[in-house]
Amino acid sequence: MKRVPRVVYRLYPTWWLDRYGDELDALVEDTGASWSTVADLAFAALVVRVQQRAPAAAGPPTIRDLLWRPSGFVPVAMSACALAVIAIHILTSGVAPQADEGPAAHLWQLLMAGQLPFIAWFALRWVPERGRRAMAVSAIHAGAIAAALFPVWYLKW
Amino acid sequence: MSDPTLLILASLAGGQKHGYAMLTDVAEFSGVALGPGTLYGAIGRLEQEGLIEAVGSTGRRRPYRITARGRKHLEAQVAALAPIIRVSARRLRNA
Repeated sequence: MKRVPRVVYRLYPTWWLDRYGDELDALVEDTGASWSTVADLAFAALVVRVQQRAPAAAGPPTIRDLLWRPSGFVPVAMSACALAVIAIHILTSGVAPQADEGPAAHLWQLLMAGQLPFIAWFALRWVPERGRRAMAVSAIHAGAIAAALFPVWYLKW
Repeated sequence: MSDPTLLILASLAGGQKHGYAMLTDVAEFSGVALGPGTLYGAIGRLEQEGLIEAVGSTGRRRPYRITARGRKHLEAQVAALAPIIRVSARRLRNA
């Protein structure tokens, strides 16, 4: 049972554990670890993740931090997948335009359209708060879209 | 009345305490059994808001104390709750 809370501690953000982890562990030692304690720790970890942010002393999020948020990396991943769809299509069917839009074209369109809500959410959520760093990530989104659009434009599909 | 942040402020209004002392004090005066996760989640929030502060820089059983801002916050909470408690008690007596 003693090991279970240590596993649950992994649900907490790292910065939070650095600050309160030892104290929390000491308190769990003092009160004794029961299943209700484990449930309490797990629920509290989720609440901490939702309600608390790393203090400013830890520094504002870098471009990399912002890029690793779901709304940061999902659009880039979707553009990369769209590019991969084009590459696979060229390798299997060549560069000639198709008379009818096939599954590759539909998949490409879904990937390109599907990332727009993520890009919009990222811009609305982070640009007002994080300014230039968030704008740099938005520029990466725009660059990824341009990269996925370029072959379609260049090959006149 | 079982808001952990309010219970912690009320506990620390009586003097500085570490986590375990807070748990036992809260259980004694309110009957609410806070879990360790709930307690430290609330401590983190209160400390970020400047309502409590740690006493001493290190240690696994670090005590906390209420700040002047925390005391004002608690006073405001108590003032907001007082009329509700008073009216509720009167109505229960008269019912």
